[in-house]
Amino acid sequence: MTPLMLGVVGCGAIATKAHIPAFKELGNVVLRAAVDVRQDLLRDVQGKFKFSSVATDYREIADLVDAVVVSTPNHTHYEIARFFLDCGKHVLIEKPITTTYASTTELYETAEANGVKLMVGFSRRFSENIRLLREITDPFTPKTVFASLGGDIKNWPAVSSYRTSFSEAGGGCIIDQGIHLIDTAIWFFGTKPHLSEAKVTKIMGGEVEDNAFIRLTFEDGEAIFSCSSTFGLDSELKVEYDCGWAKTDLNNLRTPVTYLDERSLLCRATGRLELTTGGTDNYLNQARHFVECVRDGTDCEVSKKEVMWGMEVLDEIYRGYGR
Amino acid sequence: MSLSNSRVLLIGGTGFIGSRLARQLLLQARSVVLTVRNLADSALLERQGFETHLGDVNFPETITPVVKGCDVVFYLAAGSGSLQDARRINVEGTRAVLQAAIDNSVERFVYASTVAVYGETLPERVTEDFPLTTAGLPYTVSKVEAEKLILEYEEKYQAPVVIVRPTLVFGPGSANWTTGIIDRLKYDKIFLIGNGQGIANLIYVDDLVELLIKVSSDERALGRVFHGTNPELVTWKEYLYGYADLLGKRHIPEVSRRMAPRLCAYCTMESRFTRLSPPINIYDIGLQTNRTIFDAEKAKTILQFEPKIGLKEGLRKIESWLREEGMIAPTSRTTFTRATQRD
Repeated sequence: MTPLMLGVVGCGAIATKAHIPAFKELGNVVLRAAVDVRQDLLRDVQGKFKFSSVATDYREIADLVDAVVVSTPNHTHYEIARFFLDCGKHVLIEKPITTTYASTTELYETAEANGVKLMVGFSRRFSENIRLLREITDPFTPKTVFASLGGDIKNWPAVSSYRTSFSEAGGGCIIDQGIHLIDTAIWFFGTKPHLSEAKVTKIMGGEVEDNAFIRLTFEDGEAIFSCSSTFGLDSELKVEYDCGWAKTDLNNLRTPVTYLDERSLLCRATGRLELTTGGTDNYLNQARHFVECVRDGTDCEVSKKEVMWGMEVLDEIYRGYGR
Repeated sequence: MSLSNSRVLLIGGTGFIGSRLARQLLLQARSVVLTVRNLADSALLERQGFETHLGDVNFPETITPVVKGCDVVFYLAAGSGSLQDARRINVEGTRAVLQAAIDNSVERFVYASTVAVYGETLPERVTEDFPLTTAGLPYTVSKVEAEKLILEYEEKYQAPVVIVRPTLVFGPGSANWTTGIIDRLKYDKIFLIGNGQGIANLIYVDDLVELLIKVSSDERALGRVFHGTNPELVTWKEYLYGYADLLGKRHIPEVSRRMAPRLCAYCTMESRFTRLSPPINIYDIGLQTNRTIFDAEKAKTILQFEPKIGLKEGLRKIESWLREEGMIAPTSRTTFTRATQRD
């Protein structure tokens, strides 16, 4: 089988810590080309991951690759992804797919017109503990999903400060972290969400929101989130339903799923159960899934419909609170 | 000074001790302000009657404005980890909030410290005037620094401070001394050391809450340091077997005092390969071989404070909570707790 020629556009922290090591581990992928505007980063990734080509302009690599990972600052996602989709290349794009609903629609239309895959990197969907939690709680309705994610943005080893700029990031902690929570809820419920409450603050006085609380309602329940780009929050995901609950950690893949159900004979006999998963790297699972979709022509697990629902929520939040 | 007329600020009010204290204060104070990091907590707590402000002691500038207009400030936030992390919360956070308390003429600043400030080499009985250590874990060192800072402010600015040094605080939600022990017992990850005859200086969380409230309003507490401890003498054997009984465990593995350090060294080395927490660690040895009693007389004599909940009663309260939480096998009548029930 011919290996997939992969390009990586944007060699910052998420690319070098997560995406590139994951694709490198797959046997049927060649790390063909890396792109970044910074020469020093290019030198580092070429030395470390042995890309056969590097470039400072993404347009130069179009002929070399079958697919690309786009992990650049948010405001550049649309332009770069659009270029590769137009060239007939598959695209895995780091969240958020773009900063607006309208530009996201255009990207999907372009992908469909060119018969290529466009997938958003919602890495939490590929965490085994979170998948197990979803599987356990899937049959129960109505249910409530509680989740929080947060940490001081200064601790993230970013090579660019785009996250603090509204024009470059498209928002603050919601578009950066909250989007994972929104997507997780959409994935758990499988129906269209409605934004019932959103509270955002700029407690540190920056340009973008640094703390947020969001409540989404679904046909079969609701989701309650908080996220922060300043304060350390417990990265917990918990699902409650009429006769029980299950929870795990959104960041630590090795955290077991803790489960307690009043109707379960096992729980009634022993109390809560702890279910451990393998803890395989979620970016590796994500990369494998993307390559399979490209190879086999199967649908991406992160569907267009779900991504669009998430973007609708984001648009509504930022419309209400000042995009 | 009466709490019923006071506006009270609680920093660290969503933790184990803080959340129990907050609930009591809500019944006794005019208004209770909590600083929270999580906006979802904020919505929930406001429905319960608290006033909340988004803030984090890691960023003192988010906390200090809240001090204005408050009569009493409780500082229960605590940091551990590296010395830098511990200092940020335990020293710098304290400094910022205490300064704000002075600037805003707060009537009482109550600081929750720890008996760890005395260090590890101790006599049989330790009173509040025993010298503080100058070495130890980052948590200990930073708590000592914070106490010195508070007393310096008291001297320099006549700051109305009180320090409470609790011993091991047990009760529903105590990660270190209740659920942590339950988990370790459940998975055979604990040893009884030296026949378990060491003294576990304990205080049930609700008793500590009562003491904290007392020192916040009693004039006699001003400028003083108190132990928060129950004088009931409980050995580690009694304490650990109390939890083992709840789990239906009849036996806890034992190791002699002499062999404990060797076993600890072996298990620590093994844990580096298995990446699992060892069943015995150096802190277990220190705690379980402890013969020191932290004196409870000062709070009793000056404040007439006497803890009401001993080990037996405490474990009874903990038992029903553990069953509701599913941490031990439920009874046929148990209803499991869910977060939504917190409403």
